[in-house]
Amino acid sequence: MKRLFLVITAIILLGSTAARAHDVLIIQGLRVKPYDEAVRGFRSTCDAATRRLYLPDMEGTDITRLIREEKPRLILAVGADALKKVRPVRNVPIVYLMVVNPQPIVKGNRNITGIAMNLPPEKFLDLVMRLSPRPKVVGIIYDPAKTGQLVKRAQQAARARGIEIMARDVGSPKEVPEALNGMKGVIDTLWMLPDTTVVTPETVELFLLASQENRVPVIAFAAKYVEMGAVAALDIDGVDQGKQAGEMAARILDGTAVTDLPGAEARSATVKVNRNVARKIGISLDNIDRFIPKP
Amino acid sequence: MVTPMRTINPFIRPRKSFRTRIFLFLTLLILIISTAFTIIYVHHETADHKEQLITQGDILARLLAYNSRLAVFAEHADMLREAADGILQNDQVLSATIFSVDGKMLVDRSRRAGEGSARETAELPAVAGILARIRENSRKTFHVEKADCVECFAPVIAGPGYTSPESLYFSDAQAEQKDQTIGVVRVVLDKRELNARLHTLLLTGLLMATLFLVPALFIAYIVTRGVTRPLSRLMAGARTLEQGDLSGRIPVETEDELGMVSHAFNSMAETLERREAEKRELEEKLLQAQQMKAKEEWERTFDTVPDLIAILDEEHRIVRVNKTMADRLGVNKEAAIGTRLYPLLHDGDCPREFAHLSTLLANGATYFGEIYEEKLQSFFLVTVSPLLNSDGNVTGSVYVARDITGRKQAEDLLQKAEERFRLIAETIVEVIWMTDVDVTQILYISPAYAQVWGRSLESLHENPRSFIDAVHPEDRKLMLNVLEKQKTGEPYELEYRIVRPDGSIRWIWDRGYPVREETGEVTCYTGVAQDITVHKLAEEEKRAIQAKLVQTNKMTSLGLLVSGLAHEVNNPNNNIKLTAHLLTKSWKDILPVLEKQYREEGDFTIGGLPFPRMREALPQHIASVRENSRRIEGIIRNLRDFARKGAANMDFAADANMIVSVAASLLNSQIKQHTRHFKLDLGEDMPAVRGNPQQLEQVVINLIMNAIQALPDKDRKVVVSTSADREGGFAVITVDDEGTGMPAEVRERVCEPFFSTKLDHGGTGLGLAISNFIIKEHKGMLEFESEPGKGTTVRVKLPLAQNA
Repeated sequence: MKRLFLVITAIILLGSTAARAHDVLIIQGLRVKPYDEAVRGFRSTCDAATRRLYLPDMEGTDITRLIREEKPRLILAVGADALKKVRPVRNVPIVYLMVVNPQPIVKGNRNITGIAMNLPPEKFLDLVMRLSPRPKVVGIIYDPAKTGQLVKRAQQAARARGIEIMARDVGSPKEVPEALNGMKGVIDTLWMLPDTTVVTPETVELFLLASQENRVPVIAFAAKYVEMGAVAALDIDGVDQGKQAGEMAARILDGTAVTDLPGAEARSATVKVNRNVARKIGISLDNIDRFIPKP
Repeated sequence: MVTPMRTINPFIRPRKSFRTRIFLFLTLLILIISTAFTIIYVHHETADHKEQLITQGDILARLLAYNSRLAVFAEHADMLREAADGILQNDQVLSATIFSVDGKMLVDRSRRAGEGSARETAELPAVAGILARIRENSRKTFHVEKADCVECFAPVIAGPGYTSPESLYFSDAQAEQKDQTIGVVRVVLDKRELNARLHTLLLTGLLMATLFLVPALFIAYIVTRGVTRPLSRLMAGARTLEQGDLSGRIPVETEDELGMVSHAFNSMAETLERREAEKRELEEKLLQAQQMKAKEEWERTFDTVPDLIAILDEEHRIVRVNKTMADRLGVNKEAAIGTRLYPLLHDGDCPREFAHLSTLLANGATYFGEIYEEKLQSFFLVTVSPLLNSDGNVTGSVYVARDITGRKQAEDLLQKAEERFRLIAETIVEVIWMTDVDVTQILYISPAYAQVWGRSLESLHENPRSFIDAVHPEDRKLMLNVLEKQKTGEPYELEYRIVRPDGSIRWIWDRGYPVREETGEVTCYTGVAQDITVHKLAEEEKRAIQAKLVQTNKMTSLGLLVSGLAHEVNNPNNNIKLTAHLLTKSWKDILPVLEKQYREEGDFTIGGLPFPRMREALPQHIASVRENSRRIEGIIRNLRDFARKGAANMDFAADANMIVSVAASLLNSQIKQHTRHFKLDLGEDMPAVRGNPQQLEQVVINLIMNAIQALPDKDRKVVVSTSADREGGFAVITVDDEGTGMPAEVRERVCEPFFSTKLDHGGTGLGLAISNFIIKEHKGMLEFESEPGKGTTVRVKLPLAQNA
């Protein structure tokens, strides 16, 4: 039954391909709002004809074959899962979007480029400096296997700004409370990194509890942590990242070689703050407010 | 609750009336309902309280699980203790325990100090099982009820970890990921308070039920009494009806159902009264009709019966006669009433056989007997029975006469036929018999049996199988076979011998035939046994005559054969005799020549023998030839005489001793071959016998030859002796041997021509036949005495010459 359904789906897909050709095939990993926003941003800067397929709908479909049949001029992979799926395709340019750490996936494939979701650490350090005018020690808990590279970059950037980074490496979430305890009274800002070992629903609570107990602000990387109790977050701007990728795609479609367009990081971010928490901890948001557009 | 009712209820009567039963039923119903309500109430309340406690326990356990989530995650002792103590603030909580997911106890806080560690060691294994269940079935709470407490378990659940960096950013991408159980909490709630509450609840329920019962029973009694009072009245009315008084009525007080019942009862009593009257009327009519019909039927029967019936009064007057009787007597049925019966029956003026009736009138005895009525020319079977009144006195009689003339005649005929048969059976000499199939019973045997068998008829009737004992032992098997065959139902015919008690033997020819029923089953056997001894003897004689005829015929043929043979043998024999004579003469002439030759030229052989021996032997050989030739001549002559029968000349006076000696010498060489003990015992001064010596010589030769040939070895004896019985007028030549002897059957046949035991050894079977013939010709006797193994003695008795 399932096989029959797939055959019918394939026939419909092929039939529609024959009807009109698309320049860009969008493979979207998840049906989540930020991805939809990113695709919207992409379409606003790249006016080529697009066709969007959702990865969850295509379970069991041979994607490389589908692409061979579809013959798009460019593929937009939204999310790491989508990128992993289309990676075997070599003869079509691939632009990725909303991928946190694309390097291990791309592995130097010359037909792939795109916009990484990561924000450069410098931007976080700037936010830290705005929160606390005289920051001395910023605490980081990380898993070297996952965010070691990022921590190195952050340490370099911090040195340049005269900030000390106290980094504690952990191998499992269980070590996080102990690491947090060790930082008590030493750090004056806690910076949460997008590290899957360190960040779990429980550790997030621990981070935030520690933040309240010790009156140390937590800087996070996504708006949802602000809602949970982080003082501020440097949130990604999906629409802008989409636009960034759209521009890249438009250039490729215009004939620019993929190799001439190296992968880039997101160029902009949104600052989110939790004023209640800031008040309880006793932090002034004056320096930040100036950068945040009023709603 | 039930037992007090019997004592407080004063209305119970020894006999359970309807009222009591209704009251008891209502009481029981109320009791059951109140008990059921109490039980349901208490049960429901108990369940409710317990559920409340468990729900509270669940909530507390979930709360503790949630509160201790971070503490369990971090395994932070202080935080764990804080969380547990928070739950202990609830009064009902006895203890709160937190376990890690692998069953390790993280913290155990108890209301009573020091109890925790004891529980820990005691209950860990049980907790391990519950942990395993919770691990399988995360998110579910779980409780265990114990005697004095309830233990509630809840899983400590942690959210899923993040699998990809992207998921860290988006909160809604996590839906499909699973939660994870990281520990279990246990909250122990005190049940003692619950139990106390339940106890109170039970007491309240019982009290309420009791309070309800008292007024309810009182009301039940009032209602019962109200309902049953009209019933009691109805019952009294019904009892009046039962006793047969249909006029009683019940007062009607109300118009309700009971009033209607009373109405209905009254109208029913009225109807009953009316019906009863109608029924009695109808019954009377029916009885009358039945009596009429019975009378009619009786009369018809009375007239239809073929017997003669009369009902008489004490004075022999006819009260009633039936049609049959009236017709036979030739009177009118109606007119005969009042007249006496005996004049009508036998023209007399006094009763005859009614003397019996007189007896009957005196003692009431029934008369029964056969009577020939001359006037009616018929035999009657007459019954005279008394008619009794209600006091038992005889008031008259019933005369019944059945015409049995036909039967009488038949009986006479049968008797005559039987007599005839008996005469036949007892007169004829054949034995007529009839037995059952197995011959266990003799049904009939005619008296001839006693004459033929020589045994009494009674002995046979007493012991039916005794006739088998009478059968000759040689025929008994044959008889038993036939008796066996008799069971199959086939007819048979058999000849056998019987031995009469005096030892004489009779031949019986017996024929048996099966007697069959209509179904074909054989019921018995009948037959005729005939004494055929005379026939048998005549038959045997006839057979002997026939045998003799055959023998004579055989002899005639033999005579013809012998005369032919004698002629054929005689010629060559004459030639031999002549040649022997010639040889003797020739030898006399040749001998001097040969002797001369012997003397002059020395020894030489003739026919393989040296001359001196041949000179002795040859004359003997030639003499032997001559002698044997002479014997042949004798035998031929004997044969010729045998054939000619009595043609030989008998008129010689022969010396028996000479005859024996000649025979012995002729057989000398043969005798020496067979025995070393041959003896002649010749009587001295023997008188001469009359006869042909040559023939008698031949006889003795034959006898000696037989004797020596019968000897098994050379040590046995043969003695030939002669003697004379001058008074008896005969001489006896006896040949006695110690040979093998002869059995009786051989001994009887030795004189038959061509009978021989030595056919294989050249015997002709003629020797003794001729001898016997010769001796008979001489009017003598040839006697044999022999026993197998003991030898044979042959005696030849010859008449003396002087007597002839």
